[in-house]
Amino acid sequence: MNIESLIFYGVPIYLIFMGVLVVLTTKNLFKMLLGLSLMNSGINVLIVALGYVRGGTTPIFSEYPKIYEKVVDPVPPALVLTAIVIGLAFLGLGLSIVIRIKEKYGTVNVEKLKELKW
Amino acid sequence: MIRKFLYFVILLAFSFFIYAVISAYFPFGENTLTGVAKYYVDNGVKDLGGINIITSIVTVYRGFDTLGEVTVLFLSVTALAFTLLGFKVERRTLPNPTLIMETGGRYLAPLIMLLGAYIFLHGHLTPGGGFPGGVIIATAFLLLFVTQKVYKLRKIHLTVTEALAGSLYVIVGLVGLYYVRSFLGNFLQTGKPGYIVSAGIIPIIYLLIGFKVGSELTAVLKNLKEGGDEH
Amino acid sequence: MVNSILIIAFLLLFAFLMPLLALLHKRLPAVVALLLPAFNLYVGVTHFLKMEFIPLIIKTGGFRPPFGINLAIDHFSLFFLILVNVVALFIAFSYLLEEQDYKFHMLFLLNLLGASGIILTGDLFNSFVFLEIFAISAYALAASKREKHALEGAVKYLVVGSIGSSFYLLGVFLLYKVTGSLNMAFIASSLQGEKSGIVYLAGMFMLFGLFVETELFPLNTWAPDVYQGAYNRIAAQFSSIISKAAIYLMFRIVFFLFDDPLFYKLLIVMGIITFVIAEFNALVQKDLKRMLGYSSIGQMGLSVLAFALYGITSHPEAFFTALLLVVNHAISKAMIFTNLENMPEYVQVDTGKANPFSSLMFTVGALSVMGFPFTLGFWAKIEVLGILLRSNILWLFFLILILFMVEAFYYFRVISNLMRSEVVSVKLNPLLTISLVVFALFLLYQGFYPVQTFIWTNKALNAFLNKAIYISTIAGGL
Repeated sequence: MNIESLIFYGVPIYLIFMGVLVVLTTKNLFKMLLGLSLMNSGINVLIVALGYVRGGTTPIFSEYPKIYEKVVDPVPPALVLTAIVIGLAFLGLGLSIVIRIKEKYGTVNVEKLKELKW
Repeated sequence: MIRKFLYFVILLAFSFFIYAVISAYFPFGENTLTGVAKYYVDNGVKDLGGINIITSIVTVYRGFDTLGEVTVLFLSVTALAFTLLGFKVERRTLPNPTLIMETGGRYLAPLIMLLGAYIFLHGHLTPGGGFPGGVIIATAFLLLFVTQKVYKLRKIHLTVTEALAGSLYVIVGLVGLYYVRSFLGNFLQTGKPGYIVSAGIIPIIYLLIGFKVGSELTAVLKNLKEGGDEH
Repeated sequence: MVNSILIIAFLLLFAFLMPLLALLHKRLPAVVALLLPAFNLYVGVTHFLKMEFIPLIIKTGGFRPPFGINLAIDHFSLFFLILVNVVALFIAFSYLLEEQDYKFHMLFLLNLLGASGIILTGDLFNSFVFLEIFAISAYALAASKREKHALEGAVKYLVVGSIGSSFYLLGVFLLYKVTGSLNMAFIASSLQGEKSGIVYLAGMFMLFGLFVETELFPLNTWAPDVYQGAYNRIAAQFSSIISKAAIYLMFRIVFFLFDDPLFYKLLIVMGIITFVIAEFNALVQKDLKRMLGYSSIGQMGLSVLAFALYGITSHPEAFFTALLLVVNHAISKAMIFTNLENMPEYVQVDTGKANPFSSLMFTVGALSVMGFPFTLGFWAKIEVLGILLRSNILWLFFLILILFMVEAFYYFRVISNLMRSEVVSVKLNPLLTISLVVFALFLLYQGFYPVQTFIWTNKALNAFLNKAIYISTIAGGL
């Protein structure tokens, strides 16, 4: 458990954990959405961190035709690009639903949203 | 209170567990490129002509995913507009802009748009590409929304741009299907790597994505600022 | 045969063009929403009938797998594709004349796109992307009524769903790290044999994501609220399209990728718990839609349980049963939920007014869900009990039997109330009437003579079991 993996793995995992904790413990719907966003960021950073190659550089051969010896894995950033946009999409839709809830229920407090019981 | 503490403890234990497993199996940086990653790095430039390997992956090798992603964004914007149908925004929620803000905004906005366009046009050469470029363009519109006293942007323009850009993306894919027998296959010259006119269909796709994302996010901002359409 | 990538391409193209089409003519979106499932159905059925038992690979991006994304089409995927599009066609047809903003039809088509994408794809990250399309459109459709209850259900769904999807993504990525590829066939061949611990973690994450969409315990608390609050046609979509596409993905992942006793046992336990809790909850409900929602959850638990029985009994009939349950539930629930349009005065479970036609349709659908003889459901439910008897798991046999009786009880309660209720005349939507009659006749005809369904299900089953051919077709030669 060296300092490197603590920073690069530990911090994103901490973000994920914080995001889920926020969703589970807050009563405010809007804060729940922020928690989800936090969790998404954590997962994205974790994925990119898992793709690192020590001593590697970006997979962009700007000095072509000179090819670099070691490059970082190019697949995780490609996946994360997609994941970021998808996270944004969730947030957008979630916000519109929360806005409408505020309008209909008058509050974004989860405790008050107990109309539908058992 | 006790419930929150319980959640905290359980989640903490869980994240330690995940951290331990991940750092045990995948020590940081101890990677050699294998499998598909190795192929992409070795052959990316030869196959497609773009020197940005990540871009080549995103637009062509895994172009189908990007099409899906564009669809997700489109879906989210539509869903947002649909959910807010008939929702009225009562009062102007932004403070009134001062003269400095107004003038400054008017000068800055075109420059920001230029930056965004630069980024998505050079997607195959430098980091970035369609998505960041489009977002930056939407930021320019956000600046205008915030700093101008009155900024009229007709929804119809945004909708048409969005619809056309998206359909053109699918049509590019179908053209690929026709010429190269593969949906979203590259059917243009790969050209000389490092030049702006190179890399086959990559610049075209990023152009379309830049327009689409820009108009979509601007539509979202407009919806959130002014409420939904009349139902 | 038409290239099946066109299913995805056309759905996308017309969804993108929808705003422009709506400008042309107000009714055009609804018509397009009807034509596309019909097209998909045509492509699906022609493939099903003409294809050999070798998976068909459709490349995208111009590169062969695993360097490019591919669609992998076999009879198992086609089975689900056909089922999902039949229900979509049914819904689009019945509601053809209804007034809706064009965005609603866009959402409907995009949901269908997500479902079809999940079913057809052969790449794991691609399945994530389509899963997201599918999930986000589901959130929007759940909220589409824009009323208090609908919004409440939708936001609960959204919160749980986002967490689930994020974990699914993490699971997919961990599999990539372990195997070096994102292609399902390559991953499956790498995972054969001894599996390291991280693979189990990845699998758990992925299943966590799917538990939300397939309405399994403990991540299904959103489902009763959504079923109760949404429009009837949306409830039909949830029970018959959304949960079915999700269960396809679960089946694929658990059998095809992992095939590990741990996951089967987990699914058995969760399936049983889901079924038990859902059926007993359904019993005490006062609201009809909520009761039907719990019934759907229970059926999902049962389907997953039936599927997972393969893990401990090694009978492939377990898969056959699960497929039968899936078909039966999709068709009967679609009938029941859309039929609710014909009984607007019957909202509570034990009182209300209805008319003879709607009561008849409800009865046929309900009889099939509970597995009454001479409906398609009977064959599905009998198979489940049969497997349990043959494998000598008697305690489970009795438990399931009791739960079947519970289910019969609460459905019969509604049916008998319908028989005794005050007659009220309702203007029937002719298109809906036609669709309901067609589905009812199907359920009864297959109930008497299930040969056709059995043949098709067998084809799907054989394709599914033949992992080796799938893997060697895509990953062969490496």
